Amino acid sequence: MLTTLLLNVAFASTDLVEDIRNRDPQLAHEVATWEPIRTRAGFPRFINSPGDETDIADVAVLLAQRLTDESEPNQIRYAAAMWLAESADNSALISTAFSTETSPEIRVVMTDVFKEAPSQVAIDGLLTAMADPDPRVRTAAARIVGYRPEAELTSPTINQLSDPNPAVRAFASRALGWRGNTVAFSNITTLLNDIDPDVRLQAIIALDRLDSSAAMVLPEIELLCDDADPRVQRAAMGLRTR
Amino acid sequence: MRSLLLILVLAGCGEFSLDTPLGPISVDDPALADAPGIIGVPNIDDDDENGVEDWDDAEDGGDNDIVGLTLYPHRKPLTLSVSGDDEFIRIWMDDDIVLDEDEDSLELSKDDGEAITLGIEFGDYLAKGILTISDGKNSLEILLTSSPLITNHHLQPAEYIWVLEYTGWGGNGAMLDVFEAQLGDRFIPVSGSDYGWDLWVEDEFEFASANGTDGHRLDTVIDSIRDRGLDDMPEDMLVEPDVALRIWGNPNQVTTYDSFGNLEASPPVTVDGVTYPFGRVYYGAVGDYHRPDEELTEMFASQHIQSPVEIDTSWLCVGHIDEFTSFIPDPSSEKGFKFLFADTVAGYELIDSMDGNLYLSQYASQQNGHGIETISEMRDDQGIRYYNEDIQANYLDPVLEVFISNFGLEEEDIILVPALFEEVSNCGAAALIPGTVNLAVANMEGEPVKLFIPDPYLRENTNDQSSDAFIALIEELFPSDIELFFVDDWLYHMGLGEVHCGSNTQRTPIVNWWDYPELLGDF
Repeated sequence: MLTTLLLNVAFASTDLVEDIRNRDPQLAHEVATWEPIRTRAGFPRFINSPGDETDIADVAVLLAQRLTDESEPNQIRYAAAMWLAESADNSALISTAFSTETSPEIRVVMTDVFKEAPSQVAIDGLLTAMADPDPRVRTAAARIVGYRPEAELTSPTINQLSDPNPAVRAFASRALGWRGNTVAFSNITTLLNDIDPDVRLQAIIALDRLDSSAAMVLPEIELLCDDADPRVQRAAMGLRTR
Repeated sequence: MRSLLLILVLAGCGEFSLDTPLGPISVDDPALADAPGIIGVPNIDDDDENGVEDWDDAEDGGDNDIVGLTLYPHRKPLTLSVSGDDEFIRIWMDDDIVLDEDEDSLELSKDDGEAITLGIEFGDYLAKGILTISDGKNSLEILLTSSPLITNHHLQPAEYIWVLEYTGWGGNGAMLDVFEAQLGDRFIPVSGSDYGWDLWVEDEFEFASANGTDGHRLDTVIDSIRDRGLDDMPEDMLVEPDVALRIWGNPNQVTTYDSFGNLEASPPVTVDGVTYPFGRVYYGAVGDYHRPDEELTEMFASQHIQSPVEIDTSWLCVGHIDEFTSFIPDPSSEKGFKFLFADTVAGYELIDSMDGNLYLSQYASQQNGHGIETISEMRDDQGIRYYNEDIQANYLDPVLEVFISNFGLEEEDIILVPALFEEVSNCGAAALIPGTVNLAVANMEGEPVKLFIPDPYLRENTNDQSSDAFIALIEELFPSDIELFFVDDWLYHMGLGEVHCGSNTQRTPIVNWWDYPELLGDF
């Protein structure tokens, strides 16, 4: 793991960038001038790709340089982070850059790489993201944890159930349900009384996944059949009447 | 609705009459004075192209949007007055405004019986007023109504389709070629370099219309407040005499819900005994934040005739209604349409039935695909499966119920289209398999209906659509007498949209709104 990490960190080094510029000036020029499109949702995204898949590693180095270059506009750095985060091959590189990245929006995008990353890189990266001062990054971590199987993430995710931010609590519930962490059943049950309807909804769904027989007889579920939020009401009634 | 006009007959037969575009009106024959009365279109285009909207143009440039009337006074002096939405109604006589919000009464002293030509001008959609004509003995109240703004739906014949040209690597050239081959000069490419390579033509504007008698047509371009690269395109390419442009909302408060992929109209439907011959407007809106600008939604509500329906699209990253619903023509069915609705259960049924080893060339790339190499990789991803189960249970199933109850849909009207979604970075859901329902409907007059559908690429050989099980299923599910063209929209797909998002269609209006006064609100 350490070797991979060092290799990836080295990816972005000036020497490597210079080496590519000398070896393949056309590719270096192309990537340096890539401009993102705006997706329909409005965020910037590079849709470019090198014609030759063997150039992918070089492109990653060149884009990593753009990502960490503070003189680049944030939309370029955002698009670079997104491009890099789409491949687990870049996970160690992103882990390293994560700690120095100043923009929370870009740290959110970076967190996506841990969805498919090698186990230890994902654990380390997600634990860092879970402790991030920005709730959007903690939300991203809670969301991605749901796609990961590692036992080391269970306890930190349970802790996220009491995060002050409701989106974090909701995604942590979802993650524990997806992961089948039955140990979290009672912790999640407390969220059935959460002030935020999204949290209550995700708690119902998670409990249903973890143990529907136990969940359907909870008195809180009966009360939620009259919840003010129609989605919560529907989920509770669906569970009760199954 | 006002059920009966107040007609005061003080003595004997009527002493004056009026010729209107829909026929004569007199005290003895007042039927046409009742709702909607004398009708017209709002005079808000710029017929003389002097840069000033005609309603605000003191130099009335001989425009064609003023309703002509002939009044036969029958030798008695008359008093005319206008009430109601008088800030949007004017009466002209001999090239002068004689009644408006400042002048509420007019004495006509001509007593020789000579016919008088009047003009009625409206300044807004669905302006309603009453023109009262009195000769001292008889008084006649005649309703005045301008056309509501009617948003086009997919059963109206298509006239032109616009798509932005995006050249270069990974561009949309192949898709444009199909449009051009099938539509000829009805397809209008838009220069990408002129409009900042803003692909999302559907999102920038919506076509609607207002209509008068004798085929008078005022197309309206509803210009979105999203104001990205395509912002100037409607003014540059669409606005002309008889085509008006209107903006509702505050661009400083724009959200994704203000884009017009999030604004559609259904075909004609009957709901609980109420018929909507122009369909119903629908858009994504839920809660306080996930909704279009209030000025826009209030405008649609005020038009009454397409009574709007709000749908929860908050679970989507982009949040647009066209990402998972569409109406398509079905000439062979009684209602004339099918409702397409994305369904993840059907999506999994399809991929569960496919060969797990099938290599998905188009999906395999990490950066320009989904990093998914085979069918089994897609179907065995437990995170994606849970995500789709949650979407189905919490959003798609309840939303389908909303559509059924608000559009009077029956089981045979609905096609559940296989779909799978993935989660986009802290944003929400987006199509994993290109969203089939996000398609363009080209039903040119006198030609077969043509649908331009995102190619799902659920196959190894990207050039061989005949080997695609998804395409085969769609061909089986969709009405047999329409033509399907599966186009390469991967550029759009990776940008979180599909064919419908990247195109816009002008359609021939349905004109006879005046036959449905009961759908125009209170008079």
